[in-house]
Amino acid sequence: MEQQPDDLKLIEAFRKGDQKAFEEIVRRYQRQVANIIYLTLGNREEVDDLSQEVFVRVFRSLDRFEFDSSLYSWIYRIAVNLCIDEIRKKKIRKLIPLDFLTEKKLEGEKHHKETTTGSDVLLQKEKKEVILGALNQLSPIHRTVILLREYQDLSYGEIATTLRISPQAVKSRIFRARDELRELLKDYFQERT
Amino acid sequence: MNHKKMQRMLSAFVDNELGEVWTKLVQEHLVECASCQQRLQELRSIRARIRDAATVDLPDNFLYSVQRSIRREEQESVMWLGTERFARNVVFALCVLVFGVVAFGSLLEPQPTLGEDRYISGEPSDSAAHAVLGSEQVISKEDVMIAALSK
Ligand SMILES: [Zn+2]
Repeated sequence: MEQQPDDLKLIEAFRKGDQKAFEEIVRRYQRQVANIIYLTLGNREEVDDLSQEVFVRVFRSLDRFEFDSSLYSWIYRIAVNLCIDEIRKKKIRKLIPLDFLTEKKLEGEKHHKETTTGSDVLLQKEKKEVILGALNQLSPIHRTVILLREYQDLSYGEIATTLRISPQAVKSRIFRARDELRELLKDYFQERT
Repeated sequence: MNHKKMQRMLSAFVDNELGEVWTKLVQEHLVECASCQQRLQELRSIRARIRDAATVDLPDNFLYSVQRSIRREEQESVMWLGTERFARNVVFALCVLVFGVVAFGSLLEPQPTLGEDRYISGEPSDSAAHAVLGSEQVISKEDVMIAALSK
């Protein structure tokens, strides 16, 4: 797996006690971590706290990092595991009813017709809610796999290492996750694209 | 070429995870299949929408909060170690004190054994023996505890 040469230097510097190296790691990955948490959980509320927890864990275990994966996929693994724990704890999936998508869509369209100004902002917001709702209908593993692929742009091999599953399992899970998403967004696609 | 089979390839195709041969076959099929073209468009659209939804930014002081949280955790673990040691000593001292008092008390006031009373009051001898045995058991349990504590 590809290791960013810079990341390697940062890890070495961190191990020698360079505080600036850790600061750079946080700066480099904080936005990605925050967004993977946001998209996985489907809400903004816990993003700050969980992102913080991710980097506290990075700090605590960076000494034990074994260079068997890239630093970013290692950090994403920490983030993803934390999210899956959180989902298990709260069963977030149950909070979003199946009719979420159609209701939101109709509501959005009604607003869209009624308002002439600010419709772009509304449309953006609506789009976001629809995709977050659809992601939330997926099982945690499908959600994680599709996000590592679509948002983090990891290859199948990198996702396999991150989630400790086989590349073949990654391939079939991505396929199934996309199939589910397509089905959930079917009406939306027909009218919007 | 089989349309259904090609359609199943599109997911890996869009990710550039098909080998050279399959990539070429899918490309050729796409030229002539409108349905697969639309499917491909949808897959690309899903990706674009997920990326569009990733709008979260962390507060400016995020790094500071992480560092504060690490410091707090370190302090807590140091404090906890201290507290744990202190608590362990207090519990040990209390145990010694309690058992010491009990043991000392039982040495100072040797109570008339129940067996003697009952023997005098004319109870059958084996029940008196039981009572004596019972009190012996209590003493021996205490002995064990004192022995354990003095280790
Ligand atoms: Zn086709």
